[in-house]
Amino acid sequence: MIIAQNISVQATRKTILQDVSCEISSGITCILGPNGAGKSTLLKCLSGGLYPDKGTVFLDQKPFTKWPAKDLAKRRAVLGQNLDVGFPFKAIDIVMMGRAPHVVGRETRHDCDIAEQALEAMDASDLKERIYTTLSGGEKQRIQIARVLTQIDFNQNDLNGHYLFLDEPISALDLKHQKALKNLLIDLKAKSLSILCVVHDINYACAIANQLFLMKSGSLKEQVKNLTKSNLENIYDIEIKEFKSENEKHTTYVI
Amino acid sequence: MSMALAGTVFPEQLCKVSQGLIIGSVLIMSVLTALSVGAFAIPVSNILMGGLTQQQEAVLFSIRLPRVLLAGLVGAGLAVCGASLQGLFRNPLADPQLIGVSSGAALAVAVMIVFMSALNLSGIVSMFALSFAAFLGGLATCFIIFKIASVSGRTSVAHMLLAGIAISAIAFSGIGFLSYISDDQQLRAITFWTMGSLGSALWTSVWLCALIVIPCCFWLFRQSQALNIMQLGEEESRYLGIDPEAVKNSIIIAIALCVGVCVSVSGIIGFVGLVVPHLIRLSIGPDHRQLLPLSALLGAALLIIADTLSRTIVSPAEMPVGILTALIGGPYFLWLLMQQYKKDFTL
Repeated sequence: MIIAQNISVQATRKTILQDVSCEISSGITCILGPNGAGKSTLLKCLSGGLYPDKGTVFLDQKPFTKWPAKDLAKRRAVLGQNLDVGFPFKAIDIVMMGRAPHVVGRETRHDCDIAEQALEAMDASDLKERIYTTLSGGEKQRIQIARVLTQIDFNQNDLNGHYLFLDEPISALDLKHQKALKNLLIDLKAKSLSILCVVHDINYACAIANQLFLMKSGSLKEQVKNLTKSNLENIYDIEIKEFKSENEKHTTYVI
Repeated sequence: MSMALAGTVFPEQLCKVSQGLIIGSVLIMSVLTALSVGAFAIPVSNILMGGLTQQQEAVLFSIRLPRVLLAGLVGAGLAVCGASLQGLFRNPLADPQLIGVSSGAALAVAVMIVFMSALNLSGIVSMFALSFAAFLGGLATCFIIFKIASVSGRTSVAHMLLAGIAISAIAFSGIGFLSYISDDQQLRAITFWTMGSLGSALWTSVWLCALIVIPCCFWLFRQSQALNIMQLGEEESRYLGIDPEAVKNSIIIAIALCVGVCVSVSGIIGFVGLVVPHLIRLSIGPDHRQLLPLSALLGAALLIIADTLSRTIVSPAEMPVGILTALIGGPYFLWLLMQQYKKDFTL
């Protein structure tokens, strides 16, 4: 379990995160909030990529600062917003980099198999031999998602104690691949993987999340199981319309 | 699926192995040619089969062989350092000379040349002193350029190249000033260093170079997977269990050592570190695990060939090899720059 206790992050003139406490257990948690609310910073703190200026983040009761980077890399994978890669690697090479924390010496057939399965899960098998730097934004994003899936060995039957952090994973994906990712994340949740995901699409978040973090100007305003119209209006400062399906099972929010 | 995998991965590895064999044989042929041609020709058959005259033996072992070995070591060292720098900056335009590491080292060497005469050091000690000074000069420049070019974890190529120009200008004004205040003998020594030549190859410089360049290269080879992963970005590499700061520092120190010793024995030889890794990348791709060792082989071969040309085309005089590498490398760099613009790289 990952627990954050009263964490704050300070930039030169601005407080980016202020006194946030939360925990991530199994299931899918989505972070919602306007631009500059501190969503990505919170994700970085909870994944151990950034040490907060105040407060502590624990993974299994041990602070992130005490975890060796290599051990951590076997427990959690992080998809950032940066999709740039320095040199023209093949897509498969990028995906294989996800195996780096697990590999001693040369990659084995097992490592290649996981990478291939991850590509297949992202419907990107046909991109395998393509040069990454020549791919479109959405294709790059699918390759990077395949890389983080490869890192956490996503095809294991039990992913309990493993964490996947996704910072805007669908920002460049078309509807078909958004749906494929949604189904995949729900499958991974069933294998007890803990997922933390920053998204801007409220309806997407509602469809996958069993816990929602609502953020505004550096604070975690609410931690809820189900969204309401007033929750959303409070953090986004706009009027939001709500449509219920006939059996009242699904709610769609429209701006 | 696994059949398809076997079908695609295997020929690729075969291709990489065959590239290694091709470059290896180019290296062997260039060594043999370099040993045989020159003002005093020594037939290759005599070198291989034996039966050298006493005079041939003297030329071979006290003049040609140390020079060829030195060219090979310097070429390999510069090429591996160039490839590692490019990996570190995530850009193929980095080169020890272009970003000013060589000029920083050369300034330190010039300072030593001018002030060492007061110290009365013996031959070998002075050679070590020069190398050490070059190392410190190179190290200082590396760190300065990295500090200037890296803004919040991202490295700006424009900043890197501009910082390199500024540092080279400062270093050369320092060298100019030192030339101005130096006596005739010191002036000759400084001029020779800034032009880059392997003409004064001695066995001591070969040993010194081997002692530093070979371990540095192997150290850099060990970092190649980390360099691959750092192409994803520094933050991403941290998530993959790599400490980018530690990798960066260890690579910079190895590069400064390696470039420092190369500059101290041969002066500024530019563009080897730029052209060689790029040629290798064109043929086998950007994976540093193959790129670095193959760059070492090709760098050695190319500098041996360039040095052989530079001492034969205007024979019996000889041209500093640095002039030749700049003559070939300069246009190559411009071409590369234009290619990058075409690909809409953000410089």
